[in-house]
This record gives sequence, C-alpha cells and structure tokens, in this order.
Amino acid sequence: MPIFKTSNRRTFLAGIGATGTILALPSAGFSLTKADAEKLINRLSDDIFKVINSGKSGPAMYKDFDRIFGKYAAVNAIARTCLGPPWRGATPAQQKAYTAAFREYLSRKYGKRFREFIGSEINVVSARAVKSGVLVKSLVTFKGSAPFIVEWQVFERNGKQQMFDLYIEGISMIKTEREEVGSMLDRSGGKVAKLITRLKAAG
Amino acid sequence: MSRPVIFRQIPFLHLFRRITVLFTALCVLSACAAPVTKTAINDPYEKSSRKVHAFNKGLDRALIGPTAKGYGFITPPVLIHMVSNFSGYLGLPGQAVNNILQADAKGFGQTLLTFTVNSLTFGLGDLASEAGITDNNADFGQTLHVWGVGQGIYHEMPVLGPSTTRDTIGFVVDTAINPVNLLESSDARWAGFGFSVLDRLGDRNQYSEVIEDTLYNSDDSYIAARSLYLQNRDFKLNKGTIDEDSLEDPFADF
Repeated sequence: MPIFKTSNRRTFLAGIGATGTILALPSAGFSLTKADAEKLINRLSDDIFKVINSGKSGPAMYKDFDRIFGKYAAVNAIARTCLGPPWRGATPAQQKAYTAAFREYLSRKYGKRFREFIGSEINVVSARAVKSGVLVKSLVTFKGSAPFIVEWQVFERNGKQQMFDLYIEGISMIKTEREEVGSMLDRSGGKVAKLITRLKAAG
Repeated sequence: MSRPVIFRQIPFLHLFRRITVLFTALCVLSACAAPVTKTAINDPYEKSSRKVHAFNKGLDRALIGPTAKGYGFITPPVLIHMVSNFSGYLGLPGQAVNNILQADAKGFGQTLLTFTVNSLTFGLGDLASEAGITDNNADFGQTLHVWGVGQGIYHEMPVLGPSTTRDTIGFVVDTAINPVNLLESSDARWAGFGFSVLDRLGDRNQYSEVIEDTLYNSDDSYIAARSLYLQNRDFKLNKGTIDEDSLEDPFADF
C-alpha cells in the first residue's frame, strides 16, 4: 500500500509537471524577443544573399525570392495593408487573386532591389522592441563606401514570427507600395479586378 | 568674399536665391503658419510641380541619364570613387558648421575625425568610412529642422529634383557656406562646381536601377518620387533612425 501511495503521488507530480510543460510551450513562444527576431532576420538575409550570389538569371532569382518571401513574410497582412480600405470592398475571390498578383509583383520589384546588393555584405547589428514587435537593424556594406541601413519589422502572430515591413535607408516597402497600389487603383477607376491586371504587368 | 559675390559669379545661384525668397514668402503665408500633421503631404502646388517633374524626367531621359552612363562607362571605378570622396570632403567644413549650429557635439567630433583622417589622402580616399567612422551628413535643412522650422511645401526643383521649402533654403545656405564657393579664384569655384556635378552623375550611374525604376516603371512617377524623397529625408533628419510612431501596424484591420 505505501508503495502504491508513493507512486500515485509521483504520478500526480509528474502530471503537474507535464501540464506545466504544455502550458509553458505556447507562452514560451508568445513573446517575441529581440534575439528571436535577430535570428529570423539572420536566416532571412542569409537566404536572400545565397540567391543574389547564385549567379542565376533575373526571372529564376525572382522565383527564389518569391519562395523566400512566402517562407518569412506575412504576405497576406502586407498585401492587405498596401490595399487599405478597398480590401473590404473586394470579394473573397478578388482578395485571393489580388494577394497572389501582389506577391509576384513584390518578388519581382524587391528582387531587383536585392540584386543591386550583389558584391556587398549584410550584417545584423542591433534590434529594438517596438509597439507591434521588433525592429531589426542590419548594415549592407559595399567595399570602400558608407553602409546602407536596412531595417526589418518583425512581429508574431499565433506563435509564428514573420517579417512585416522592410526599410531601406528609411524607405518603407509598405508605405511605398501603398502609394503605388493606390495610384494603380486610381487609374483602374477604383476597380480591384482591373488593379489585378495592372499588378501583373508591373514591377 | 561673401554670398553676394558668389551669386554674381554663378548665375543659377542667383536664381536659386530668388526661388528661395519666393518660397520663403509662400512658407510664411501658408505652410509654416499652419501646423501640418506628420502623415499629411503638404503639396498644394502639385499641378505646377508635376510640370517641373515632367521637365526633369525629360532632361534625365535625354541628357542626364545617358551622360551619367557615359561617365560611368569611360571612367575607371577608382576615379569615380575619388571624385565622389573629394566632393564629400569639400562639404565637410560646411557639415561641421551645421553640427555646431545643431549643438551636436558627437556629430562635430565625427566630422572632425572624418576630415582629419581623409586629409591623409587629400580627400581622395574615404579612410574614415573604411575605419567605421559614421558620417552624419548634417546639412542646413536638418539644422532648420532641429531649430523647429517646419518642412514647408513639397516641390520639385528644376534639374535638382524633389525638395521641400526647408530643404531648398538649406541647399542655398549650404552652397553659400561651402568654402569652395568662398574662394577668390573663380576657376577654383568652377572646379568645385564641376566636382559636385560629377559626383551627382556618379550617383545617377550607381543608383541607375532604382532611379529608372522610380522614374520610368512606376505607375505614377511623381507620387513615387515624392514618397521616396520624403521618407528618406525624414530618416536623415532623424539621424538615421526610424520614428517608431511611423511604423505600420501589422494587426490593422480594414
């Protein structure tokens, strides 16, 4: 009997321990730390620079950037933010088609920007906590000239860390593309369907 | 020796002074009087500014772009670097003045160190950058910002491109306090002007992809250029730091 009791208590304690572990798992990933965000950007920039230095042709590179973009970035949130309020007026099918066209457009356009980094070196230098996540600062250095500052806004949703905005010398990808998508929408007479056609031809 | 001499010697500077006087008047009348929120773009003369933009675009297509590429093609990269370094070096005394006017001791130290180190190469090399000394690029537009002067009106200057009232005034003052423009010999002044033109051509060549993407591939190049200029300028005014309040919200719901 006493043996039974002890083992029972052990089971109970083990049970508490297990519950604790289960509870601890989601909360451990819940608050995005500066170190986590730096790690994410280190991996992301490594992937980008591997593509830049691969010597592939433009279109082949854009395909690789598209894959990287899908892996690290919050594509849906970025697409939605760049469209703004008209997002609500679009049908679910249009939202889907717009997001797909926008993603390809972004891969082409920023693929071109990244390709200009050929021959340079990127280093993550610091990170700071901001309202909605972490802003990671990196320097892109070309030999013999002053470095460019590239900053990455990282946030966390449902335990997943994702890149949201990208700043090259203070120029935000989202702010810039919101203006661009905005003028495309104006020229499409406010019609999302026409905007999608325009996006496919742009970049 | 002072400003009037320069304005008499280099005709377009005189023109810039006139433009500045005009914009200052406009600024006092409208822009600076009314507080402008950070996100609002103050561009009341967009219609006429678009005309200047079209002119600048035509000029870039016909002359500046091809000249810059020709310059990039025939000039060895080492020489292009030297020209750019030297042009930057000539701007350092003016930069130091702005550091002082901004009461920025750290910036002044950086400028002084950059000047001292780069003097070893007669300004042709940028040893300071290579040694990791950050350059602060202080200018008079930034000084005005530090003094609390508002941005004013966004506009495009002929040939020189996007600016704001504050930055156009800054440009004129920086040109006036550039020691090269205070030299006795007009040959030396023209040489200094030549270096800054070559420096700009070098930049136009180096950043040709992003410049051409903005000018010729964007849906509305006027808006694209305005957006890029104002964002990058804000970043520089804040000494290379992004203002946290300006960050986009990933959780925004539309």
